[in-house]
Amino acid sequence: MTDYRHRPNDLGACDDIGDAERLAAQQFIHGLLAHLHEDDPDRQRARVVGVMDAIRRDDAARSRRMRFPDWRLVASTAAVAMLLVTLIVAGLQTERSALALVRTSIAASAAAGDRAYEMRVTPPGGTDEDEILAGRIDARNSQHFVIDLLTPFGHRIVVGNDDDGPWAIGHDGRTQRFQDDHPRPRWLELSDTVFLLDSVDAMLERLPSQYGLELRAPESLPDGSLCDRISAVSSGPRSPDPQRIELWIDPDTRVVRRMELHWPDDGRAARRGGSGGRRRHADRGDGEYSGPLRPRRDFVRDPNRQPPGETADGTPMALAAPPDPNGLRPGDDGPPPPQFLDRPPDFRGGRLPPPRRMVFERVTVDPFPEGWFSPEIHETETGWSPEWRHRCGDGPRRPRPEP
Amino acid sequence: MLTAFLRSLVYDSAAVDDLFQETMLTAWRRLPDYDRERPFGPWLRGIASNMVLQHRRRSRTKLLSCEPAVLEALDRRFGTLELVPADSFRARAERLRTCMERLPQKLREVVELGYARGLLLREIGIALQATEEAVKKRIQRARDMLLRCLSVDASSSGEPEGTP
Repeated sequence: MTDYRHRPNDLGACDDIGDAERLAAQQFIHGLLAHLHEDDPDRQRARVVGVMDAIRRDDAARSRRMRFPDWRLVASTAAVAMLLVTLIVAGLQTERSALALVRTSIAASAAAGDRAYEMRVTPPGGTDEDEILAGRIDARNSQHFVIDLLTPFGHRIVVGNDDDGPWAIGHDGRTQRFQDDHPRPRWLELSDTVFLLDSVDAMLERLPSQYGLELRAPESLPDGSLCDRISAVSSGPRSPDPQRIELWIDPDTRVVRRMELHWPDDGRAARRGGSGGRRRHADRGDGEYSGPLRPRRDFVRDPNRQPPGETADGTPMALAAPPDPNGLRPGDDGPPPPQFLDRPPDFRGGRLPPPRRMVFERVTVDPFPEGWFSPEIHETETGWSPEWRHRCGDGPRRPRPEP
Repeated sequence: MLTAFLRSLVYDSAAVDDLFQETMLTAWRRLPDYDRERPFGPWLRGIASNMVLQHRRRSRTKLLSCEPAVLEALDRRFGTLELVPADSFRARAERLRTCMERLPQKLREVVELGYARGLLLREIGIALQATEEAVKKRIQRARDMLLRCLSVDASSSGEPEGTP
């Protein structure tokens, strides 16, 4: 790669006085030559992504100061328009390297509009068959998202980000707002594992700086669509973030269709009495993807124990039965309520292991209604709702109904 | 186009990255003021020129000449290049590669060492066993010839010239 520090240093400094036309001619050719030799598409793409990040930050900051909906609409439209123009100018659509693809996907996600991803989790030490449907991520971009999570013991947790910044609704239904000096927690501790609470867009944005990327052969999803494939392996010091991330990217829109987060299984789950250590399937990141797995409802170790919020004959309890102040639910025999962690978990020496895998898979949704990314709209629905019975039960899945 | 324009004013690649971002962010903020009846390129280059001048005031980064007359002449040259029919600015700039192949061996050599391999004049001099002054003269002659080649290339295909 070219060493960017050097340049033929023959041209005059700024204070030189000379024939302006002659100097301009020399500098014009110099600029073209330097551009041709140094500004490869990866570098151009990095600039575009940097600009988009700066615009998003600026947009968010100004939205907080100026709360006029029309202004926000104009600003968002302008940002998207500029993105498209820049993408075309930079000729991004032709590049195939892994880093280029990820950066293009980041830029494309920012302009993709409303999307949703189902979140499925394989518990620590579990196998593919133990995977459960755990929640859904609704996203407009990295600054506007909602993660709606139902824990295996029936506690509902919602976190999100809107124009006013990050927020979270805890298991007790209380809403918290977070600021820069008190950021939103990224981790949620359950009774036997710790969940990562990040949006797909946020994880995607971490890849270029924190992961080594590899472009793999395109792979089909179960619906037959062929996707570009990226494998990302953590390149930094050991952190609680996933050790490996697998991506399926739509070749036309460049938006992520499926993302898998993998943590290494160090066998602690097996020592704790889980099913750890068993690996009935080959490492899925290295094999053919065989389609979404049938979701299970919970991590239950006693198969006769009914899910919380449900009576013994399988009918749902009334919605007016939220968790009590201690986080316990009717019929619940006392699992500890989920807790946000103020600091990253220590999976090496901590008492709880990470999940084996988290999967985010894109599902079809209608555009989200006004205010969807603010907490108020999500505060009304607590606990184990009929909607969740559709989403987590055996019945057909359906998009979230409009409020 | 914006990157090439910035590179014609600033040596340091990191500064080019910063200035590119500042220019685009400023353009986005001022988008409501942009007169759509007028061409976008000169408007953007105007913002970039102001950014470069501000950068000059607040940092010690070595810049190329950015006297007002030079900035004006540069803007005209980039404006003319924009008129050359092609799918993208990159495609227009790629014409320069064809012109480089037509350079005499001695001149092509210094351009390749200076731009493709990123050597300083002194290092090129050592590599070619020539004085620094001789290398400087060769590189300037090479640029002059490239400029003429771009102009001829454009005009011979019935397109606007690359020079004003």
